Amino acid sequence: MKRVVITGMGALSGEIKPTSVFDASALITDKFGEIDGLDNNNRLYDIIRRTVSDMLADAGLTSSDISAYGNDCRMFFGTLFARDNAYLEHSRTGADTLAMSNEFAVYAAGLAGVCGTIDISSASCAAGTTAIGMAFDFIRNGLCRCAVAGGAEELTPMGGFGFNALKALSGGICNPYDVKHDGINIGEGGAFFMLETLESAQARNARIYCEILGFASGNDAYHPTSPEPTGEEAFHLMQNALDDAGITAERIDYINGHGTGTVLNDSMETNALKRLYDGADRKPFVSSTKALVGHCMGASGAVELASVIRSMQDGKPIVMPRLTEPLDGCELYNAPEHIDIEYAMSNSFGFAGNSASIVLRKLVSE
Amino acid sequence: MKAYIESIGVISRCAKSADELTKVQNGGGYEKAALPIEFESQIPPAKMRRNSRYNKFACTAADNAVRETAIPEALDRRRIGTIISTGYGSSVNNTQFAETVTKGVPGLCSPYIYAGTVPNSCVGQICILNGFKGVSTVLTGGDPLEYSALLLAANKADMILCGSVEEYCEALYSELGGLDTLKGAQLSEGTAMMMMTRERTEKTLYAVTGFSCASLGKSPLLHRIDEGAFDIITDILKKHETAPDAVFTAANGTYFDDIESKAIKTIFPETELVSPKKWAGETLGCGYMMNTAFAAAAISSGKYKKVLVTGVDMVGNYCTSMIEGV
Repeated sequence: MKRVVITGMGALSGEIKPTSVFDASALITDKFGEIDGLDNNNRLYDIIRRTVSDMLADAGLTSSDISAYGNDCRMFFGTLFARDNAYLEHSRTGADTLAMSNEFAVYAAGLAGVCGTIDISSASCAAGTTAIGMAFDFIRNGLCRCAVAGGAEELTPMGGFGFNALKALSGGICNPYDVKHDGINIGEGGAFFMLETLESAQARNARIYCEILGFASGNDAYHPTSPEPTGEEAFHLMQNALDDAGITAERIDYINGHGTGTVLNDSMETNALKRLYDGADRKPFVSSTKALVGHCMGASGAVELASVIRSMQDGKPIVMPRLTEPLDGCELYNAPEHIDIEYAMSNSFGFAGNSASIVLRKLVSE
Repeated sequence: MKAYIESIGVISRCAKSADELTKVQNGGGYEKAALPIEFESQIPPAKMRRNSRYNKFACTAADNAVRETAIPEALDRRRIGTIISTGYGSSVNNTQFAETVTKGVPGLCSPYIYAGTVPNSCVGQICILNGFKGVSTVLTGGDPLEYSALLLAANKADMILCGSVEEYCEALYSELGGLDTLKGAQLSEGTAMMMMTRERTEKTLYAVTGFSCASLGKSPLLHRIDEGAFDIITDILKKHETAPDAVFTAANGTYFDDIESKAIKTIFPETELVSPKKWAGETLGCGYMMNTAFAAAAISSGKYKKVLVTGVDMVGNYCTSMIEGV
């Protein structure tokens, strides 16, 4: 089996604030994680363009370099909302927008120079982590040498009205894992990563951020929109990811949780985490990037992986600014001032029970 | 990389079971079902309450496949996965929800319809009905057969329900029908599900013994691709080490047929070409798995021992796999 490393990344996310992207005045909140300065007629493609371009530059590669890999470089794209505006446009104007609603992935692959196959993971909020995990599995098992993997999502009224209908939106700004949590703020964002075998990275003298050690996906088999409340399946998911990584839970320094800020998710996750670390001598810090950027839906796993890698580099934990009273008094959410992250985990739980967990290690130069 | 298939469940305009697929291929008459296809389900209606037709469609085919297989009682359901693909997901729910959003009145927006807009809603319901808690995702581009085989070979699952679903949506199909690239195709809907296993069992019917795929750069169903696709397809086909008895192609009555058949005949000059889409229609994101179901049925009937299946999806992947009887 090949060792798989991340050698480049490009990421973009927004700030939670009243949105200017669409009229949210009729919803319970107008606060969304919005990125400034995007082309408002083409937000998704603009996010893809910026993040893929940044990833290439960060990896020290051009699209021609990627094309030279031929079929040996594949694309793995995670998204949930990417087709929404096509349906809205069709509904509003009758325009023919539906047939080409998957072209965003072809655009991303073309921009990156990827000549291999394109896989789009549509596992709802677990899509981004699943896309990256798929890339890891394909490379590790020798089906390709490298991959461009990640996800992108734009703000759309479909998502806003949809989550409003589900009564899942926060009335203010989301507060993951706090007793006062009351829902999500939807965010837009994207992140793409260059994944390759360790040999490939070393051969071209690439800067290596980290190694992906393990990945697991699963399904709650419980409810169309709500997680299984005891956290049983989330616990097994994390354990499977750790088993795949070949390490124990106690090795993990930091977990980026799904942490949406909803009562159902946060409680479920807390139950699962407490079970995973019950009796453990050493416990990680757990936080949620969604407290800062909102819930980027199908891209959330990708955006959050970027924040984990950044934290690994600079030792600064992702602090949840509004957390004052952790759920169940859970000590895992108490932020340290500084953290050395050698091993990290990132988790995503989505609609229809889909879930994904990925384990990373900061790679020491060899 | 090798995996095994124990059972198949299928709903198409020409057949709603593996036996019917065999009958159709052997020249048996069939009545081409109008769209949307009417189908009966063995799933109790109470268990599918408030589910979209997209979900019911996929779940019924999945249920038919599961009923034909033998899941060991002792097998941990966390070792049974679900890998499903679709081209456009639940288009009907998406168009319905978009209409309510356009009106701008939150009270008109149904949470049930919204919950059904996500492409993986069908996987969720399949898992709820069957208790499958293993590896799981929905692909709206990509080869579910290859990914399932990978997960089985990597010992991340012992069984995987692998398949595809494409639901008829009037708005979407009307638009697709106007494309030059689909002139000559008969658009239809379909779903094909199969239970795959990591190891051969006494119920095993087929083995999937080879995979090879690449990107054509764009989907030939949506964009006119040029003769450069010939080289890509021949390169993919060359990776299969032995010639099959037949190739079940992606031919759908359009301009693409010639490009593909020339490429296939270059690599496998003596091999018979079969076009399942003449029976099932062009089922878009389900085409490849529908072809796989037809191939499996042909093998079961003794017509062939080894069949190469090809397919294209909505993002330009050209996928191939070798199916053999056991």
